[in-house]
Amino acid sequence: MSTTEAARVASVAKHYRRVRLWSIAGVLALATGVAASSLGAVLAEGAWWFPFMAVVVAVLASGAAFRSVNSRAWLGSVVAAAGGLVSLVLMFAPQTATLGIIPTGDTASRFGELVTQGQASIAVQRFPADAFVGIVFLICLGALAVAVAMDVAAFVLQKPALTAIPLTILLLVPSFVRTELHDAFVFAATAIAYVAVLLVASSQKNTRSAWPLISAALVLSLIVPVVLPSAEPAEQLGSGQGLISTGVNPIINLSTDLRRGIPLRALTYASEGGGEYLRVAALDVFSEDTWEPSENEPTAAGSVTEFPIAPGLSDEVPREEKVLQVEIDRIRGKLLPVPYATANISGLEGDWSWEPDGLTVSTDDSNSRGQNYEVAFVSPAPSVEQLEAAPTTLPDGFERYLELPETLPSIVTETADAVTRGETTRFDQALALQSFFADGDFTYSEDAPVAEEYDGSGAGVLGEFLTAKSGYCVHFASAMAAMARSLEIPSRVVVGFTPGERIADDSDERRFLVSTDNLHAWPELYFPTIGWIRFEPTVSVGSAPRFAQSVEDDPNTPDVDESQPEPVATPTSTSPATPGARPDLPLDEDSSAATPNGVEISPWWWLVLALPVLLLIPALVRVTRRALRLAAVRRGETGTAWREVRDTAIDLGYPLSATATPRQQFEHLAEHLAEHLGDSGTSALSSLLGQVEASAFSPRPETVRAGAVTNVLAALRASVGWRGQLRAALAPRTAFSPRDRRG
Amino acid sequence: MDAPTSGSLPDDVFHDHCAAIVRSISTVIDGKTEAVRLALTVLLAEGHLLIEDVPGVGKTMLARALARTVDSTVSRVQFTPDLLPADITGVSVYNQNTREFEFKKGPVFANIVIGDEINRASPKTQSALLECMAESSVTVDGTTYELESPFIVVATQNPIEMEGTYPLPEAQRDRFMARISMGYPDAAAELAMLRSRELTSPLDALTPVVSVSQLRELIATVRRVFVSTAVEEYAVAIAQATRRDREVRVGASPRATLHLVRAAKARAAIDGRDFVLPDDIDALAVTVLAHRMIPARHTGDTSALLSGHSIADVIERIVAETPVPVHAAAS
Repeated sequence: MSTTEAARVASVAKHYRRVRLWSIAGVLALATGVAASSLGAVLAEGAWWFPFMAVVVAVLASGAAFRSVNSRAWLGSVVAAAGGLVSLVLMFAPQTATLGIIPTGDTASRFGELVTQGQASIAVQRFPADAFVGIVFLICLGALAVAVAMDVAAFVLQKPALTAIPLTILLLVPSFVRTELHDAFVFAATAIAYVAVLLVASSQKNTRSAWPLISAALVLSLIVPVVLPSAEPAEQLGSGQGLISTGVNPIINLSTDLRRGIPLRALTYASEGGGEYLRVAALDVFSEDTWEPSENEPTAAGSVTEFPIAPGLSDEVPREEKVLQVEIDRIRGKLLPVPYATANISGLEGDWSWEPDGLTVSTDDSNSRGQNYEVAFVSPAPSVEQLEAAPTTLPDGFERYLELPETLPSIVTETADAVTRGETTRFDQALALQSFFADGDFTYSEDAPVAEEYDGSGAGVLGEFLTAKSGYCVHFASAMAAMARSLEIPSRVVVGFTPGERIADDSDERRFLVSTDNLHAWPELYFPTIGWIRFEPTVSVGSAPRFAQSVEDDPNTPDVDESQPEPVATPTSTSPATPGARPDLPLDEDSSAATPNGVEISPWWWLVLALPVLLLIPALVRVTRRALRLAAVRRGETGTAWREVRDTAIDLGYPLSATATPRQQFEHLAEHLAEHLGDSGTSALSSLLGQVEASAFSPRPETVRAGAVTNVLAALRASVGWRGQLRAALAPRTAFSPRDRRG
Repeated sequence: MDAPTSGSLPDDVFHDHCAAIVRSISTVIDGKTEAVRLALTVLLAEGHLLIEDVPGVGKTMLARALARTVDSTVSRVQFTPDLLPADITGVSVYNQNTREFEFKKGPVFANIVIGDEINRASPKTQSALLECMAESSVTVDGTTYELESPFIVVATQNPIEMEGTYPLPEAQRDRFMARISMGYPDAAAELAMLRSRELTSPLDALTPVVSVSQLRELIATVRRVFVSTAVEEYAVAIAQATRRDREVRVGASPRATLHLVRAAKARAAIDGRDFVLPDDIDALAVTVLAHRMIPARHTGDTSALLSGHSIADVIERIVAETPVPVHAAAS
């Protein structure tokens, strides 16, 4: 008899063990799935989630299945990993495996191919990336690793709290690859799922001791998304995959790079003064299709330690000598960004040389990527009088800067003439052209030229641009340069970067961050005895040098290049530019989300709103449970009445044993509360006890009135001070106590 | 076991009878109300009672007083090392007149059998009581004789470290519903005893307060006490916990669970309830379970084995840890 009894006990225990095992596995899978949805920030569609979960479920289910028949925990994790591997084989390379599941050498090489594909796919794509098979495979590999880590933490180490580590890594993946940090909602959801893991996987005795951990997890989940971006502002930008390729003619890639969803970090530089425009290429050959660099071979002898004097710059022109410390990040190519007019460069690796007309710097055997160099330059600062007094006779060889393709639409020259009518000097004509674009009714748009098929910089598209009056820097620069040439002013188009965004400010050094958003094209016009002068026709972008600004400009406006802390001006434009946003670009969804300010502000608000809600969760759980129990009492389930009284007493701090009998607990309460409860309270208690005992244990169940229960609860609450009541309401000890059926 | 199942007594009658018995016994046992109540509980639950304590504290007095308050057949066996099984069950004797073997009933053929110092007899003789206690019958020379109803064994024993004692076999220990100990009386009670025993034996003054038929009615009333599913589950949970406990080598048997619930019913009836509370189970757990269980840390110190102190602690812990199911009583 006792043998069968023992067997029954054993089988019941086994049953509960299995239930527990599978519920832990289930809640682990849930938490992993929730955390994985953070990857949605970097992947275009959601279909990858299903293979991910397939692997996770395969891992956890294999582990649980094994452990329900064999108690060796570590072996369970080995089986779990094997299960995950089989699911990978089934999904990605069933044809290479024996019987479809046993991996072979072919499977390994297929996996290798998939990894390579995945890496390549990540390297070439912008985010959000399309989840091609290679990427999905990498994600599934990650799923295998995370799920096995969860399994080991929960079952082998028996420390479910450690599952926080794989979950956190999963959550932080998007912030490694994308500016946009993370979805606060996913963070909160994962935190809740993690709490579920702790509640389910911790043995019931440990639930209370798990609370500090749970609170820490919740608080961390709130703080991490807020703190991360501000702690590492420089890392936000373009730390992901991708490169800016300067190529032979940078203007070809310019529009593509400008439209990058995620700005890439191009370079940073330190300046003693303000921000500087950095030139990459000077394009002086204007054709039907585009602007191109002339085929001037860079002077091989031209060492970058000494540059020639800027063309045309005479001794009378005032100049400023400045120095920049530049660190290139993700620009790959043969051209080096330098300010105008460079005097010497030190610190470069490889052989670099300059081109005498454009003063651009290039290399044959090296690469701009990762270069770290100091560049000294002379910034011409002619007075307006000097510019207006510049002679009109051009030096020899400058005719090429006046060449216009024959197919140039007549609207270009007609507009140039119309705009500059009445202007006497070349410089005034140039200013008139600049303000025609910058102050006229042109709008900035990267999309309009594409949509209406006049994208590009060549002569062919200028007619459409001038009619549509909408385009981006390439169009403005090209149009102004062409119009200048039609007015016999030598011109060229320069591709480079606007000064970028200030990121740090020491007492004697300012650091600027330049990203793909700062890619820009602008015209340079030549004035004899002065040299090449930069103009800024592009509406809403950057600013011309002070001497190249119209006299109507507000004289109080400080020169942006000299002292304005935010070098990129943000005038009214087609887009409502956020401070610090990319003024170069109209704000689309991506850019607004990538705004550093957006990341900083919204999580703080979110924190302010969500923290009280999260802190109130125990109280809400408790209130809900009380309401449910009172409803059950009204339905006639009297046992719940006693549990509610007991839990309320425990919440209020009375040391009741949850396993004692109702009578023992009521006696305990009555003894401690006699003077607080008074006769009426005590008799309410004892009559409730009688009803509870009768309904639970006697053949004549009595109904307990919900009113009687609430009276007793009120008496209990009244027996402690308001502080005790507040504590019981906000931090109820029994909020997450075992289910009611355990009594 | 086949006691008449006549209708249960009205509450007040039951209560009066119980009060009379307790009052009667208390006149000879001073200041031991709890022991007396436990003895009555076992009596009404129709269980066998083991009274264990050092000599001279009134074990036999309690047994005899209990027997005397009921107007029933009582026999008393003084267990000694040379006592034989036949001395208890009875023996077949050749009758020269009828020329047949004739069964001569032993002392077990009585309503209440007092086994004094039961652990002084050899295990063989102790075992002779086994069948009587379990089956309420005796088999001698192939013939089975039914015992009286009710049949209740009240045994006393000395702690095992006393000289000349044999430990009771486990199987026999399991057949006792409960084990109680008397404990020394306090000073006042001891003084009162001195005075009352000066002249006569107080037992002589005891007169029966209930008849056998009344006792049967009392027992029947106890049997009708309601036990809810919740309480049954609670008792089973405690018993199972004793089997799983690390400190216990042999836990409570299913018979122990049965005894626990039956004793709880008697306790509930004595308290004036017609249903059992988990508190009844709590109150009786040590008394009913302790003498049957064997601690895992059995170091050869037999006092720990039989005195039950260590095992009592374990039981109290288990009772405290076992949650009480509270849900609607089964219809």
